[in-house]
Amino acid sequence: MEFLVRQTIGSANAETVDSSVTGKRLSLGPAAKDDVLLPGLNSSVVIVVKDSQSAWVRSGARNLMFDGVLKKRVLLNRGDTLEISGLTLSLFSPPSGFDLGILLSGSIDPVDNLMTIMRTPAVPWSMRRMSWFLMCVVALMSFVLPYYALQDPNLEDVVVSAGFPSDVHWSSGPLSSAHLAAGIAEQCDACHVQPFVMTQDDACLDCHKTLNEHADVNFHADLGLETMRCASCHREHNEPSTVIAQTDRLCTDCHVDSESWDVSGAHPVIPVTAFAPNQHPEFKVAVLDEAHAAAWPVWRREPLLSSEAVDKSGLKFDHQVHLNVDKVADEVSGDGLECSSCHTLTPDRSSFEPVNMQAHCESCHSLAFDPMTPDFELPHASAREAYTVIEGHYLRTFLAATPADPKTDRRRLGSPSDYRSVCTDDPYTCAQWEAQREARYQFEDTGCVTCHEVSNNNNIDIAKRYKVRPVYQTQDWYMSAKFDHRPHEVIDGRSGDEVCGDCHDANTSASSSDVLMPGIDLCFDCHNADLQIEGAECVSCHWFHPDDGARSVLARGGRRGGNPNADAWIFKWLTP
Amino acid sequence: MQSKGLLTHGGRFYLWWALLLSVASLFLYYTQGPTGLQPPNGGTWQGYTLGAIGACLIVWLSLLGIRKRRYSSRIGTVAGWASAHVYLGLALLVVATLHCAWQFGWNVHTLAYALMCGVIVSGLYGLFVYLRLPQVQSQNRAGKNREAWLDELRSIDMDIQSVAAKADADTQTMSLSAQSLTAIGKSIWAQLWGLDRSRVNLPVRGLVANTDQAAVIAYLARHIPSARTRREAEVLNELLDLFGRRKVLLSRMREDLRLGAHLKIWLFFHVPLTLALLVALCIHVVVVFFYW
Repeated sequence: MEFLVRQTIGSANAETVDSSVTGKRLSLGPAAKDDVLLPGLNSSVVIVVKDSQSAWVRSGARNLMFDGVLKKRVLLNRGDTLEISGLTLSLFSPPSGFDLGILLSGSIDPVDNLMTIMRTPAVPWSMRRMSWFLMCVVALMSFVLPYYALQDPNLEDVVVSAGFPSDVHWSSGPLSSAHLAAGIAEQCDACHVQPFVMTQDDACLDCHKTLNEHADVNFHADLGLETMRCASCHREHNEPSTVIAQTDRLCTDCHVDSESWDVSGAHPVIPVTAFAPNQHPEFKVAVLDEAHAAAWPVWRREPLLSSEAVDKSGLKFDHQVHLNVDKVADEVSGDGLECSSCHTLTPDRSSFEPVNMQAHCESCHSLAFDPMTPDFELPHASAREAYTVIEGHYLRTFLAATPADPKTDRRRLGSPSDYRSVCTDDPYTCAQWEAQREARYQFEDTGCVTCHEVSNNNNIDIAKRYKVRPVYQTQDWYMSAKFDHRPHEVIDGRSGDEVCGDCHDANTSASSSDVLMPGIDLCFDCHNADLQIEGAECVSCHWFHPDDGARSVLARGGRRGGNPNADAWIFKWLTP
Repeated sequence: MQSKGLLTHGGRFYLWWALLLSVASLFLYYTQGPTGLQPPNGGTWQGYTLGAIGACLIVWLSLLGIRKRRYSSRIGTVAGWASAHVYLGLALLVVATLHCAWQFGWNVHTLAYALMCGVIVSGLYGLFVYLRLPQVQSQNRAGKNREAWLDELRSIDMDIQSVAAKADADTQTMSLSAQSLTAIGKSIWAQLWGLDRSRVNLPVRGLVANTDQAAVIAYLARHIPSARTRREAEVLNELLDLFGRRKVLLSRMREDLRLGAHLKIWLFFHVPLTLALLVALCIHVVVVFFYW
């Protein structure tokens, strides 16, 4: 484009100076880069040809006075006049060879310039534009982008990898650590299956398949346990996390008046209002139900302080003796036994592994029975197996002895010489005699009978006469509660046997029938709801969902979630 | 004075409503208590109630912009609306904070809360400037307005030009450049902070900063004692007097511009943030129930 710029000069604007500019557009202004230098103008003015009769005039500031209005952009036609800070700009018909003729007359008035500035809004954008911009950014980033990313996995990958917000940013709070797993943590629809519908039980039970209802859903059909939505109690996205509800109300709302329940005397449920004196029943411990013990072990619960609270493990053990270093000590070091010598915590530290003959007893209580063959031991098995081994051992021993002396016709047992003095009959008779003698010793005097309860039926064959009572060690003393030893292993800087003895009075126990479990009063010393001491919540010790009972996945099978009636009124109101 | 009526309107009627609302919200919040199945949050019935109150408040507070433009409306007076806007706007901070129960995160819900805080903070600033600045602005103007100042400035500049015509070429050039290179708040920062980026073309030294016309005044003051003739000294003296008046006038104009910018700038944030908040509020409500 060829521009012809005509500027009037002189006091009466009587003379003109022409200059030509070639380019796509013409700029007038105070900067050195401008095509026509106009010192004093507060921003550059750009002119772009529209056609031979008109041109667009654009300024960096709102200083174009056109038809009495200050503008930033004006379409100027030939015959129009535009004022810029005292300068008059108009178009004229240029001579041939030029595309546009621009006439500049007058001079820039610094005061006009200031006036323009003072009338110009302080902000670069209008409030309307700023509003639209912010609204669009918020809508796009907070909803539109995450929503469309949700519909299209490919787009979601792009959005997430670019660091833009996704539907994860719709989450109202962090998930509990248990749910921060792959496939759940950033996969909202793993739980929120259907938009605008509350999380359904199916989503929970897809993973929690082994969960049981709080009680027998048939026996307690009137409670409608299986109709309560999982999320009624298990709330996610909160701080602090409460996916496991800590409130006692969860229990005491019902258990406070459990005396009034119609349980037909089958399972009396004692009222409880809190873990505090006179508000929580005495502990009950697991006692082996001997009526069933012959077939399979069944434990029932008996009050700890009652006479029924007896350990019926079938073992004979004297803690008092074993913990007395003067009576039981290591032959080399002279150290006595500690609790941990025999009792090893389970990995979850809730109880102890069963005491084991091989690991914990055999080092002192050897199963060797023949002093002549101290390396040969009885199997730690049934009485009949043990007798078979004893009998076999002596048969082999007597048969291996040297032949009978022709002079005396007596069978010589040979080395060791002791056998010669024991029996002079034929090897079988000698072996039988010796085996029976050893069996009586093991099962009636000392040996197996030292640690085990053995019954003796004298009327039948000796091989079948003795019965060792099966050993059933109680691991889970508090069947309805859980206990974590971890926070109790060090108390007031003390540890080891000293701390064990705080709760388990083994030092004075002379009988294995003693139940060495602590009573409730001992727990109250540190956990007491009345004193608002931490760890006195019901769920600190009890599971809401028991280990056995009605499987939730079956009890709720085929249902699309729980009963909205179990929720607060607001849910009822909002449920579509 | 009218701006102060904003707070005292109707015997602080809306202040008591705002306090009542805040206390009721606190009561509602604490009924969630530590014995609930969940900690206080926006998902309890108390949380939903507080959220509904907050949402209604936001929408109603936004309507002030419409109400004040409807001059024929008889739904209360604009002064009453403005007073309620201030007090209930502050109560909104209490209601919304209790609704979310201080649970914040990197999510759309906290975005809505942050935008609401932005609106309230900008509104508080607006309240402050409306209470404080009009008085300062009135004192600065001393009964004049911008048009009168510009007329006076034009008159001074014409005097400077006619006096400078009697001086030597250097002084003429300097005087004219001081006029044409006078700057008043071109940018938002210059306006808000009253920055003076004026320059002047001094003999020998060339273009230098002329903040508060100091460079040109210093030049003139320095050259008066060394004037060779009495007439030259008189011319320089007259110019010194004129530039001194120019300095005072420009200072007042700059200050006026600064105060005006502060009176307007908060609204530039308050209104767009309010509209963005309305969008964020809708999104907050929708996504809460989308992933219910």
